Amino acid sequence: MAAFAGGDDIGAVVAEIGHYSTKIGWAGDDAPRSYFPSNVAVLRQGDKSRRIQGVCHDFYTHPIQRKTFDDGNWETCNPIDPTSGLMYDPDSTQGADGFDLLRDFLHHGYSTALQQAKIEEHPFLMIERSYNTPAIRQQTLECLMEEMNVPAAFIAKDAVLMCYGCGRTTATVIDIGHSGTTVTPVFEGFAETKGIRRSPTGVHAMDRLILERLDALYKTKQPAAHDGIRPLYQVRPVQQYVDPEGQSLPRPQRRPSIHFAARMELARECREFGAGAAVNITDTAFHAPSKSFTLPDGTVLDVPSVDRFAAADLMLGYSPATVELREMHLEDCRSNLKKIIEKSQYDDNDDDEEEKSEKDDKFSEEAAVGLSKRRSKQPATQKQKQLSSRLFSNRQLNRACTKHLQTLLDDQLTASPLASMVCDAAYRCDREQQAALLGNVVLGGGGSCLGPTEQAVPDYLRDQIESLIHAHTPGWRVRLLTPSLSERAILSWLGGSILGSLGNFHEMWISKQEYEEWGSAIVNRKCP
Amino acid sequence: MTDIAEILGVKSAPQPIGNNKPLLPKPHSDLTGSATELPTTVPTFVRIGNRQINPHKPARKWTWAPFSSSSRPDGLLLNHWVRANVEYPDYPYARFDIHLDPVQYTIEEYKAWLTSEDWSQSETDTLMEYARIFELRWPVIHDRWCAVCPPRPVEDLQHRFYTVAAKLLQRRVSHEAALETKALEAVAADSNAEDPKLLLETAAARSLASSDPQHQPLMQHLGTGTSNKVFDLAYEKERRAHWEALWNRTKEEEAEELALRNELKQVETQLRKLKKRGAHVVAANGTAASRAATPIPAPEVAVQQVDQAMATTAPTPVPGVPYLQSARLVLPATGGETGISKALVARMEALLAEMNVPSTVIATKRACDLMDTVRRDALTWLLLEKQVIQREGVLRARRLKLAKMGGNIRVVDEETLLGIAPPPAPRPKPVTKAPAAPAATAAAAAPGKAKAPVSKTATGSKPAAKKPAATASSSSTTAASTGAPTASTATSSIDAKTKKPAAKRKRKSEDAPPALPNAAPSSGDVASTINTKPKKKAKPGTTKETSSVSTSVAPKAPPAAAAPAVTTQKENSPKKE
Repeated sequence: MAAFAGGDDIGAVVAEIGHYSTKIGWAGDDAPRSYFPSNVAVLRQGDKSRRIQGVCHDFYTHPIQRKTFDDGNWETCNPIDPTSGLMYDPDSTQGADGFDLLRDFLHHGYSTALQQAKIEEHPFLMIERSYNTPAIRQQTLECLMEEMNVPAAFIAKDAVLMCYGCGRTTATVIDIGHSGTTVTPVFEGFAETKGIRRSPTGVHAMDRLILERLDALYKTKQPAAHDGIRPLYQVRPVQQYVDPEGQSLPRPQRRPSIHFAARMELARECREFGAGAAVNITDTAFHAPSKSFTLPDGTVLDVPSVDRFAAADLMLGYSPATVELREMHLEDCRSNLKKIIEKSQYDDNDDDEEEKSEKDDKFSEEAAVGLSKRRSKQPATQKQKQLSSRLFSNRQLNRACTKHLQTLLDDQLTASPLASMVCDAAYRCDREQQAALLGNVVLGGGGSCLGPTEQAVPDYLRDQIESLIHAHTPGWRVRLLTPSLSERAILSWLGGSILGSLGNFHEMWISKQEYEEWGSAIVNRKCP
Repeated sequence: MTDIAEILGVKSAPQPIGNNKPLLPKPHSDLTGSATELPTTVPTFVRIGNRQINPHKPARKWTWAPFSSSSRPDGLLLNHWVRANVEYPDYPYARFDIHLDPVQYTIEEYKAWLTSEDWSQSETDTLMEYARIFELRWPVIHDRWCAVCPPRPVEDLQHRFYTVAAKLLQRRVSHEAALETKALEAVAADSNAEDPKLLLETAAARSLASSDPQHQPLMQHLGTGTSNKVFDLAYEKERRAHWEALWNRTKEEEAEELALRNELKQVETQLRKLKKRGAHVVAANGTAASRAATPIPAPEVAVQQVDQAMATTAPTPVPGVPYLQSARLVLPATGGETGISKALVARMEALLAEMNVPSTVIATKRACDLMDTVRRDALTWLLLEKQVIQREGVLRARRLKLAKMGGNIRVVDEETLLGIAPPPAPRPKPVTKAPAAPAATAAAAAPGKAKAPVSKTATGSKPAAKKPAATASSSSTTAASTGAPTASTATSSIDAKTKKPAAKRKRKSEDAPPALPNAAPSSGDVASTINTKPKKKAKPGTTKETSSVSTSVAPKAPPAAAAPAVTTQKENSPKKE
């Protein structure tokens, strides 16, 4: 044992389920073993409950059911709700898709990449959003403890882990994610909730913009096409679709959600491997050369530099067109959130008393702030637990989350550019912290991997932040910390890997026994 | 293809010594050639850093073994890699499990001492819990607080937390002191002896028990990070207000401050330069000796000086040598003992030029005489002007000094101050603080008095000082650690120790009159002690000295008073021992 050098390998597993990708791996490694898209195709039961029957992890290019080619009933599903950015299903009242998928993802990751390790044998570190609501954390812990049966678990905030990944404990953390961009001030390892700023423009919005541009470009090349660029499965030669007897089958029809996901995948490819999105560092948009991108049907598109810069500008820029676009995204997000809140309030009205009493037990105010009392009654049997958690949890969850979603709507959502979000987040904290918070700014998340050079985004951001804060405090310097391009997208996972392999982290785990004793509310006390 | 071994005439590859088994399995048995049959060269020793590793020895075994840690109450069993056959007494990282102790109180304690109009008990409970969980990181506590309870400013949270902790600690200290008093009194009654040390200690404990809690000596509880002194809310609010004001400054204000700072810096460098040159700054506000160093000459001297200077350069007619009137037009002599400075001559020329006096005239006797007179007058005037400026400076400095001394004396006539008039008869020194003076002198005399017996009876005081500490340690379970070293060290250190409280007393008594009305506490005992000696402060140690103990033993009181304080603190935090 490397005594006190810091690490002690206890075989912990670190997992992060993001809106775009899921990362699972051993704590102490320098990259996750398993990295797969979170957007999956699911087949639901036909009945009213619409429980998930089957999950397909790789549906973009291949037929989902290779034997029967019966793809028509599959649709995409994501454990993360894009509006709130949480593992939360506002639409379903019966099963909770997020938690069903969580179970499936873990099984998938463990079986494919972790040498068939048993979930019951390894402590499990789950990474969550820093603005996650207490009720969802409780539900996650319950799912891990009762359905997955992990021996010990911990739920850590991604912003804090990003800080750790860059070797800091106090910093303002920028996370440019898929479903949105979040800025969180972190003070000595604790995320400051009052400073969190969130914008709905993330990589997803960027890809949608690129998709629109690609469609427009495609139309100039192929005037006959009326539905934009076509994904791979639509252009695959017909003779590939043959049944086991050798008879060719008609080209399968897929649901719109799958079609859209496949088209978005093309936009992502264009961004990552083709034309690429880039920060306009030289301000010579019209002289930069265009780049070509080949579509699956062989069409070669010349993506002009304006389009590439526009995509990056969506998050960073100040130009009127981008500001308008951002406002539009914000309005979309707001209206969706309002709908969710209204719906849960509507649900509230047709409650019966029994449910209410149970609600007080589990997602109470006290539980949410981590001041819960010891669980008085004996833990229920396995069957009862499953029944209670599965049948009623979603309504309760909706109700318990409403307050936090309202906060998100009123307070945290913004459409301002990234640099102002950073300053705003730091200025919402105590005066005495601000210099330290702005002194270190950590940049991470997949959206920060923009070109044209590795340091383009950090440098651009630092200049903007400094020009903003120097209006007030001319002496302050901003240090922008970010790992190399290959590690930016998994920065929070890396932080989790560091944390999970620390020797003195051992006392922080929530053990099975503690869960039995205190109930799921212990997560809000032990993982602040 | 020919094998290289055949070319070289080697039959077969040499076998490794001692072990005929191939060290590595052949990766591809279908490959032919000597490369696969060559021995793997295993070095006999490998150095890694300072360690030598013998690769032929089998490696030490590691096992994937379950472990539990003493830092976890639930005994969670996880696995990790450890050396096989090694016993670990505890998880090595368990020693890093350090947390704050919670500030705890019972419901009765809360009702008796801690009730507040602004704070309910549940809010207070929440605050205490958060302070423990977040280990006094106030920004974080405030952040979580605002999510749960009605928002309050962070300094209010701090104030409540530290006030509750301080009140609890004060009550507990008083309580402990009362218990100790009782125990000591019982001992005194038993032994029935007039042991002065025992009496002294009893008195110290009694005064600590009965005094107003706010006058207790500072005691810190390291386990909870609190002390028995109340958080200064007003100061904290003011500090934050200043911070806010600083933040909200406009750019203009900032620029103005910057300019002022630069100006101040310039003035300071100027002053430093002047000081380096010594001279007038020292002279202006300095002593008689330094004033004597650069005397300001009398006005008549100026006239003489000018005459001499003019005389040295003016040519005297010598028989047989041609005498030119124009020779009289040269400038007066500069430098030397009697000469005047070049700068003065330059100023004179400037003055004459200003008044349109031509520098060259037709050198007749009359013109030269006139010229001489004009120049002489100009020089004299300049010298006198300089003297006036100097004397004004002296006058200003003296006035300042006078104001500093607090004098409201009528200013004497300027001539006296300037030193022109003959010095007046010496007068008595001004009396500034007539009412406070006796107290101050009495207090100033106190340290000397207190010190004298100790230093004289050096050998006698040594065991005497040791005794209270020893009894203190016997009366309580833990040793009084601060008392013991003081007693055992030499008399010089006792002197050093005793000087401190005496000096403090002096300072206190100086500002005693204004502090007295505030210091009158509600507690009857303390009030009575104060009434008997109104000049002294109501600090526990000092009141005891003045009221019940003679001055010769007074210096030894502080260690004895500190003894119960230390014991109570230790009993409050047994965990950290």
